[in-house]
Amino acid sequence: MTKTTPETLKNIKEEVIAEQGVDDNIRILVGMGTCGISAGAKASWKLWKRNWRQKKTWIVQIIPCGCAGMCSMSTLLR
Amino acid sequence: MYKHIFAGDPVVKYTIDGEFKTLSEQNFYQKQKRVVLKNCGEINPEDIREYIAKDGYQALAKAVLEMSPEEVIEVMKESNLRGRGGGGFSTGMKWSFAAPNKADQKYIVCNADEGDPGAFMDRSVLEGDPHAVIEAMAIGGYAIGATKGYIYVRAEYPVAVQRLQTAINQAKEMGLIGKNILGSKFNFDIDIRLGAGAFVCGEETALIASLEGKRGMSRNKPPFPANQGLWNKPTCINNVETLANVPQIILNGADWFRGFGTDKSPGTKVFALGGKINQTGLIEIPMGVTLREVIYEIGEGIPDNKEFKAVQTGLGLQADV
Repeated sequence: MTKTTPETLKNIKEEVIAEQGVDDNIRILVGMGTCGISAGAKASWKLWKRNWRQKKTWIVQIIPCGCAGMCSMSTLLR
Repeated sequence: MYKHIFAGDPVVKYTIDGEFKTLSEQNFYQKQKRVVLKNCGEINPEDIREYIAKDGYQALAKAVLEMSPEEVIEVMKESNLRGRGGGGFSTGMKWSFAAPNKADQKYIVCNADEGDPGAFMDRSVLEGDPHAVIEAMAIGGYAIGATKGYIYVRAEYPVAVQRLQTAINQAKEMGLIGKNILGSKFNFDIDIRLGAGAFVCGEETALIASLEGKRGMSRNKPPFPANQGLWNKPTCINNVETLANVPQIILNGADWFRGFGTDKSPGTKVFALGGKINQTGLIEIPMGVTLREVIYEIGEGIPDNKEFKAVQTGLGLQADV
């Protein structure tokens, strides 16, 4: 178990923001709440992870996220 | 894939409203103010680092290291956050009733039973931002002197249960719940308990009975759970959405929270729009937005321009309009 301090929280925040802020880092968010999953989001997510091929210097993360609210548009990909 | 996603040449029929815009630029979000849903759809709910990057657990650090329990309760009272489960009772007042009671054990319970038909506000928070609830329960525990929390979640929400458990495990691993949180003297632990399909267990005294292993039966009040609740110990029971407001109130202050909504009911409310409306979904709007704006502006009206006949605003709000 890690002993987290306020300093640790600050460092983690800075690390994550730095990782996400790099121009060649791309985040693809797949809406995977229950509604999204029942609309096929899990299949979408797996397809993206399986078929993505590294190109140029891009670092692509395909991230499951919760409900963005536009349920009528599920499956939502950003 | 490269051409359509990265080279600025999207397939128009797969974009929202035929335009390639960011989510916040969509018409659907223009009247919304996402406070409770701030992180939903923005972060990976199964990665605590992403929650921390959005100022996660900063409020807990502020509460346990810089504020006394009484000060935390005072901020909650000043904010006038009212119970979002439908009761509308002041959260700060509820915590202030439990805090002075002397007991060897106190509890804070998250009511995640969400029995209202068609409602999925709480489910969305638990699935999209479970750490907000965990952090809020720890803050509430600190405020009232509770060292144990339970999240009573309906068993019909397996994704929410799994994400909550992952979040609790990660928070424990990082020492954000457990013993001597963030180097303070405050200890707090959380467990999940599953409901068994009884709508009545959304009512706090029936919920308590269910947690104790008994049949979910309501009882008369007084005694109120804040004085005599779970196993006859002082217990505060709060709704998921209520709790999800807490970290931001502690971090930004009561005045910030009172800056939107109405005088009697500051803040926002999350609604699940369902049924015969063009744009179904989950919305979060400041208190005071009219039903007309919700139906015709955010919800984009009734299909085929049919005439409005009725709306049911949810059992907790107790009215068919």
